[in-house]
Amino acid sequence: MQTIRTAAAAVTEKLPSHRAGDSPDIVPGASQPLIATAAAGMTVALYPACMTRMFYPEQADAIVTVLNALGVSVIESENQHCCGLIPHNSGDAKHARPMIERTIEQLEAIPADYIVSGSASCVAMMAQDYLHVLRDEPIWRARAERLSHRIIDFTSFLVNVVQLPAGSLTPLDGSIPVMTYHDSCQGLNALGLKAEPRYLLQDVMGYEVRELGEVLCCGFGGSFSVEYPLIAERLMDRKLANADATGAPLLATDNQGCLMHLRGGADASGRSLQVKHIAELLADRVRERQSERT
Amino acid sequence: MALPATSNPAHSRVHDTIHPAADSAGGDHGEPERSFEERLAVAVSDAQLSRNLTNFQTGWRASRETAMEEIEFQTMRERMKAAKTDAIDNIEHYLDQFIRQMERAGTTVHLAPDADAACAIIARIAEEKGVRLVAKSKSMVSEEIELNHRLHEDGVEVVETDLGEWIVQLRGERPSHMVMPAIHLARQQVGDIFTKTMGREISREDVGEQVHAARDVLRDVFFNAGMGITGANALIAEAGTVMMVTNEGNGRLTSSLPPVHVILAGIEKLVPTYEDAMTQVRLLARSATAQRQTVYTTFIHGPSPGHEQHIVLVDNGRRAMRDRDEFREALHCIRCAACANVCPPYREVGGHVFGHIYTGAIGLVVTPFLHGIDAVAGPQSLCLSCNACEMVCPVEIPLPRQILDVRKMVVEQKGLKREKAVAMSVYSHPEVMKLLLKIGRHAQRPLTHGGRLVRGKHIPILNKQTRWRSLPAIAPARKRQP
Repeated sequence: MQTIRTAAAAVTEKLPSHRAGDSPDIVPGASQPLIATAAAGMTVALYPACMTRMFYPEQADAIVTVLNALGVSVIESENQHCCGLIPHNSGDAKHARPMIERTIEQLEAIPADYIVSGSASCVAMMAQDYLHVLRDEPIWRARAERLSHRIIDFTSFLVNVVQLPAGSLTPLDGSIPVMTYHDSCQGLNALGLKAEPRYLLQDVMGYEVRELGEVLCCGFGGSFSVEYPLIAERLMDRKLANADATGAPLLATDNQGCLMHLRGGADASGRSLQVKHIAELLADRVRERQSERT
Repeated sequence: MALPATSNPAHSRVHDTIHPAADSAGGDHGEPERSFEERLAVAVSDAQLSRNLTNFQTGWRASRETAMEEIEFQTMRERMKAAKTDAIDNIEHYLDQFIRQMERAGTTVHLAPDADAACAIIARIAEEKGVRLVAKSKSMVSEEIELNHRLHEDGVEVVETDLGEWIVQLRGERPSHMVMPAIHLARQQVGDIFTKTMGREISREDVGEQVHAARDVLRDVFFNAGMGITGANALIAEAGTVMMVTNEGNGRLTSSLPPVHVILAGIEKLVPTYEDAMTQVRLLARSATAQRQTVYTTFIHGPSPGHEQHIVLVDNGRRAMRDRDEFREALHCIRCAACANVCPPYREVGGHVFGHIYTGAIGLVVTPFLHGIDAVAGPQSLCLSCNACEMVCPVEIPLPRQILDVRKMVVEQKGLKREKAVAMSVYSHPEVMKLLLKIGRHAQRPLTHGGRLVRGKHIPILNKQTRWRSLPAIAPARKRQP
């Protein structure tokens, strides 16, 4: 692997685009927030999941759009890499450990009140698994502990820190669109998020949320779905059938893995179901209000 | 509990035996165990299995929620966890206390450091007493030590008296579930095996007829057996009393009719007090079969007059588990199997694949200590890390985290699969990833046609992943907002 690394380093050195952007960028929050909340003037760092960076950059944009509109400045760091969840979840401590250390070091260096992520899995990893992995090393453990207090998922941030008021992002045409929500396992089981996304969807945005019939994993499970496609497919089919049964044209979630899995499954099975990140729905409403205001 | 129409007689409420110690060493009488890959392939191609288990899990979830309405689950499980933490942290103290009390009540106590020792103790008792036939109620520890196999070698016949357990014994299988050993079977399959074994036609559809047929055979076993073997749900240290919960009553007959009664239990079954055992009663049946309480809850304190009683207390890796901080809490398990009842991969492949002898999430955690790392290497890879098991565990065992620790042990000892090792190595180098993404952005064009998805239903090899799920295209490098 050393050879690959050296070769890659040799190539990347010749690619100027890969050398740029070592310093974090700050996207300032609106001086006149769209909605008045306690969060105006706050600065947070965005921690986009790997999948956001690779496949769904618009979801990072959506988070920034919403936060900026609330008067929250957002710091983004160019060099963020995987938090270590991917190797950790494969039992590969050797590769997870340097990623964990690197993530802690990078996030410590960012002067932000909170580190916000749109990925429930990354948040669970950083807020919970880090503490376990580093349990026998007091100094690292203390650093992980400090990080665990700063890291927060996007929906909790909006509900519990920003305290986004009910009714503040309802559709301007007064409609009550129908949707369903998939609780990601890490969101629901690890972080205990149940009320938060529903408050945002129903109370803040005025959706009619039709609940899925059963609590069940979508079958993604990281490398699980690559290793065991037949099992993953069956669980996914069940989830999509449950979504069909609600009659909702739209399904939202808070985790990129589930989103990728369900969106891909809906597409491959010819369903018209839209699968979106909750941040995208919020950002659409923010943009609607912004364009009305100007 | 509400059970699916496809259920077999062993699933009907009165015939579930909760008693976690199951017995029938099932299927392994000399036959080589099939590999994980073989078992997985069979399970995945068996659509009936997945239907049976899906119906079961769905029904169980609903019934459990109702059963839990009457108690404060979180408070109760914290109380149970505290009791088990005390018991395991001070295991030598409580073990001494329990043994002293048991001996005072007239029970002969045996300590077995490992599976071989435990089997040898019971085989010796059988030999000394000239036992030819053993009646057995559920005991997972007897499965763990493969007792039936050992006694069979000595020419002693063991008959499982729990209905589900008996069914899997007849089929030459192991239990696929700690509480409902035959949950993987439909009633038609039960009718088939009964017809074959009894040499007369038994209904494939009428569960009542199946139960009657089984009762006729098993009744004689209770009266003719020279030894009854049971498990234990709790060992109450302050009293030297064994608690056993069952639904069929076979546990009572097994423990009281034969002249010699042997109790087989893991040392982790200790609870300090009667009060703790009561907390366990409240949680166990609700978590296991969604009942408020099982039909029979038996407390055994010494032999009945004229009878002989032995208890075999088994370590077999438990103290080693206790010495590993990250795994110690797995010893708090009260064997309710709720973790299997919510497990998505378990639902698709069943317990013969998802686990070794102990199945479900807890099975993945205890197997390396009881049966070695090879036994868990395949099954542990089926865990999705969905955390559903931890949510329903009545003693709050951090199962998903412990399974990852087992996975880490597997990787340390056996390495990653080759493709995964390469992928992880590449992934750990951001600069390599950036380069690959850049190459991928160009290379993917024939597949994405400029869109956001890779659709590859008809492309060989790739379509293993894309036939059923379009993959996301690599996005253009992100242009952050000004």
